[in-house]
Amino acid sequence: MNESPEQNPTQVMQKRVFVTPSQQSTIEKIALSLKAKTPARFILVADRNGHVLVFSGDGMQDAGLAELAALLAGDLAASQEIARLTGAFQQKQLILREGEKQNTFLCEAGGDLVLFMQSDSEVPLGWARLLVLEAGSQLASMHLSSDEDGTMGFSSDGFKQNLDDAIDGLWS
Amino acid sequence: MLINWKLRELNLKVVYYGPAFSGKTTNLIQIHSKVDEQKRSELISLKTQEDRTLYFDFLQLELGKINGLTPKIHLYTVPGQANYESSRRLVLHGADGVVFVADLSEDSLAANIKAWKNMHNHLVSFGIVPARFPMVVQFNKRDLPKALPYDRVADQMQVNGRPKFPAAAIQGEGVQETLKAIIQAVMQNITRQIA
Repeated sequence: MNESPEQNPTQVMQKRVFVTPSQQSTIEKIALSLKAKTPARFILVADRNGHVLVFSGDGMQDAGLAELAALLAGDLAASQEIARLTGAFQQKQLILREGEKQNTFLCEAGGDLVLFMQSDSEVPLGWARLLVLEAGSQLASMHLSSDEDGTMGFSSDGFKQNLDDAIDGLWS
Repeated sequence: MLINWKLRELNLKVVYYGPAFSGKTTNLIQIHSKVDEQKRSELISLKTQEDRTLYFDFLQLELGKINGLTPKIHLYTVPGQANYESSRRLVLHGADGVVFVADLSEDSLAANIKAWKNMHNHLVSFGIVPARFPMVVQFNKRDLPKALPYDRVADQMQVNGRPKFPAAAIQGEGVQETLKAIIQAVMQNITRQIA
């Protein structure tokens, strides 16, 4: 705590997840296949911090996706912490909310992703659960990179100034 | 941080951390009220019946395309109350940067120091070196009649070289400056890491 940032040359390497175009396409395929097979009302794949990767479905505005993904990530994190505190934590646990009209499923998909699906209650629970777990395993096996090279233009000319302008432009 | 090459999206997580009643949620309320609704999500607040933060508040900002890249900034607050330690840790996990909101009320010095140390302990437990982690400190409630001088509070907290922003968040003062500084610090850190 007594060190100033300038005194410690150690680079902070936070967890970061890179999704390549081919991985994004694979995630989309897995999600859409799950939606069609189940059939599901909607599907959402996000990272563990609630950043949306894929969404498909009806009855949900795109505008609410960021909020939904943040809540889902928080839900999963809280459920896992509850399981840990009660000595019941296991890998690949699935959260099920069974309802009169809809059932919702939330599961971890490896260390990086969260899979959320909602289906009508006419869809047999066992069938939906099987498919969700299968899709979760497929997503988990993708091994998203955490050390991709490239800056996506962060260091390109004018990026910093354009970023500053964009932040200033947020205020109406 | 999530970088999606296909969508050219950069998703970042910034957490507002600090003691109870320091004004973390107030910062997000101010940002939500001042930012054009096309550039932000709705403000989500998971509250107790007493209107205190139970788990987190959430707000997403979209900066639009910058050099072909779309940065999306996710802002979270942690709950400040003492008994929500587990929740604070969960929300802090995965953060790309932190705004520490300190309270300049004269009776809040000990709470500031405790929360500051507590946050450092969490960061260390995540394998992060706090001294190099993007972090800015906002000294809120400077408008109070008996507010402590912010440099005195900063010294007591051992804030050292962190960017410091005196603020009266309830009036919107210092909110924008703080947000701009943490986004810049996070982007600078990412550029260093990736380049």
